[in-house]
Amino acid sequence: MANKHGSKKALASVLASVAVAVGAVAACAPSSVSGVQAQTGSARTANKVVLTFWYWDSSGVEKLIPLWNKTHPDIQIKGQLMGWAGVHQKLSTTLAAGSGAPDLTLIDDTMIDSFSQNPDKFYDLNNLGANQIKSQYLSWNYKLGTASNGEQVGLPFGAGPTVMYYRVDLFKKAGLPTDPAQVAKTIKTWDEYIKAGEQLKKKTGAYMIDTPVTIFDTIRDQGVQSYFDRSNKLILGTNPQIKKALAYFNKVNAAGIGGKFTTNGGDAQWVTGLQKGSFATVLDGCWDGFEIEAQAPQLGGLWRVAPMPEGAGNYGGCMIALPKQGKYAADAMKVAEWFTNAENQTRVMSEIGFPSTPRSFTPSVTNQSVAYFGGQKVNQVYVQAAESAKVPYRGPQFNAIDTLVTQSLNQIVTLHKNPQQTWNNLLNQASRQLQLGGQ
Amino acid sequence: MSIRMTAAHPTRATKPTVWKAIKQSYSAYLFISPFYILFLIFGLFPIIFSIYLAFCSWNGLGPFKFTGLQNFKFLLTDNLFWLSLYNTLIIWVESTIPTLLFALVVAFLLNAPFVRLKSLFRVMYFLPYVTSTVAVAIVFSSLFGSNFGLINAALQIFGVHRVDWVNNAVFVQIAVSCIVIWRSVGYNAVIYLGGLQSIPNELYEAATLDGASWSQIFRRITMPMLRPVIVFTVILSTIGGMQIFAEPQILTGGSGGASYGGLTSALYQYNMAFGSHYYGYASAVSWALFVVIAVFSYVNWKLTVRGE
Repeated sequence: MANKHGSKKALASVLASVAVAVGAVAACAPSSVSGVQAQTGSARTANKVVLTFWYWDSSGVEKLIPLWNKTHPDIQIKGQLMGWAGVHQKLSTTLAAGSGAPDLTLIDDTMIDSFSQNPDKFYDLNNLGANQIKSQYLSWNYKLGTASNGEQVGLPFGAGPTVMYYRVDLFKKAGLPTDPAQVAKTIKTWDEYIKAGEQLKKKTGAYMIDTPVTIFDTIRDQGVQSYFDRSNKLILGTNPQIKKALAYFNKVNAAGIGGKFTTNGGDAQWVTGLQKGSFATVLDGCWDGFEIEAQAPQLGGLWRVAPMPEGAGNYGGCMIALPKQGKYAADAMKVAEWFTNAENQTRVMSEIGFPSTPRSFTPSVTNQSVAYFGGQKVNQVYVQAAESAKVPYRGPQFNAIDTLVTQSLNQIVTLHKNPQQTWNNLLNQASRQLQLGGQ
Repeated sequence: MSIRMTAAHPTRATKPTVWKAIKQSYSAYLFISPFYILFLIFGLFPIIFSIYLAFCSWNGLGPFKFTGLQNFKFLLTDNLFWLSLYNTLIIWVESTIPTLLFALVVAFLLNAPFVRLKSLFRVMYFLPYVTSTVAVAIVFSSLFGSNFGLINAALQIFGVHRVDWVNNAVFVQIAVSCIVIWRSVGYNAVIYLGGLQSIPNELYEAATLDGASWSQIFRRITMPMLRPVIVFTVILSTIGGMQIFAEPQILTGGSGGASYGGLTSALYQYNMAFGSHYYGYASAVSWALFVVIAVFSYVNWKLTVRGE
């Protein structure tokens, strides 16, 4: 009898430990709302609804959530910070699993195409009133969130129109113009860019660009299509824009005006190169202005901004999307609308890169002069880029192909492989590999 | 009484012994059940699921597309996969042999009677092993940086040409091996030390009395007595070496370097899944890797058994 009692006790403690373990697992789940509600994370009680919102650090969302929650007692947002990669990975896992996705989520512009391949996983925002407000966004940016079947998957929350950052002191030493307006006139085309780069390399010893690969990426993104056409056919070998990008990549590489860094790396070697003035220009989305300032604060006053030669593209920015697993689409749409309106995008401008809303481009924004850029009114350059940016279609297998492309270009730069042969190998490998993605 | 019952039902008594044993001490099994329950959900299920996935094409979000043996056919002719296996083997050899040699020397020194502050040294040698691999790899990538690395700066002082540690196939493998060696010498040394301390002191005393030299003692007493421990560390290093991932990933920024020299099988598998979103193919790669590791373990086991 005593024995039986003992084993009962043992059983109870085992059950308790199992409960603890399962509880720990539940706590790891995306939502800490307990029980069944953990699946969607959202909940409605008598007079209020709680919506979950996935975002990454310094995305601007963390600043806006408290503002919203203060003024909207009936719709409360529960933000869940999980890092850039975490948001995208968990989102695809939970969408595939069919449960666990949030009511609202950020999706980066570079990732949106792979998510909007499955528009059925998201609410069509056009049905929730996006049609009526689409004019308040930059039209190219709004179109980024449109799936190929016409469904609107996301509302733009920040953009990254691309510009050319350049080092005034190096340009001066090279005998190049230093005033932004003059630079814009002198370096309008890629040929002029290379000419300036050769002059700069000769006079200062510095590279014009971190790596020739950056030139390829930049010119590629100035086209209408990149590696795939709208029917997702691989056009890597035939797209004239890619041919142009490759030709200029080879020119820059042969001229010796590109370094051997990773492209817009942000890794330790690249940052050291930035600080030491190893390269005189940075071609990137306009959010990189904040990065450059953070990574090389000692170079205050030595950087300026000019328009990108041959026109702006887009790199960076993100979307707010509503996964269909959420139960309160109308409420979530109100949140998405509010977060992406001009007033709020202006409010978190330094986090989101640049507003996607032309109404944000007020004189108080464009006349702001930035000390780090020698007092230049950099937003004027950004506005011009934002209004004229072009964005190519990427397609679902873009990242897979781009990995191969970058690798091949790096082989040409760092291992001095034969450019033509390396490119031909790449074309073979890329078209062979497509079958793995079910194409 | 019980003997008679066993005789009456011989089959019952012998066959279901496992279940009987579980039944008899079910509370103990319940105590360890959290591990099994979690393993079933988060370990076994994904493993079985990946078998199915290996025969599909799946981008992580859309529908599964059954493709039969396509992934495995591709794998057999995929140069990068074979290159990654080759890289893994090279890095394994380049890192394991020096690691075990250094570890043996370190353990022998730590066990020598003339060394003072033994526990301090033990902790110091073990410390790298408990340091986060990612943090270690980041520090080493500053050392091995191609443009501004510390090692290249040192080489230049001595008039030697700077080396492209990340992109050159041979050098990136050496760099990765260096990280592995630095990290695991202490760990293996502590295991060896345990083995050394279990060798009876009388053997050494007798040898010393007979006038044996240090190297004779090492070769004739220490090495043979240590054999099982050495086999154990070789097996551990094999399993670890086949799965090497974080070091080349951080050092090369995930690509394996322009020459793919740092592209190990585990890194290739990760890139195929989470970089290129070829989840089906990545599953096929992981099962191929499973076969390779199984073969290696079998060879290891055979060698061990033959020796005993």
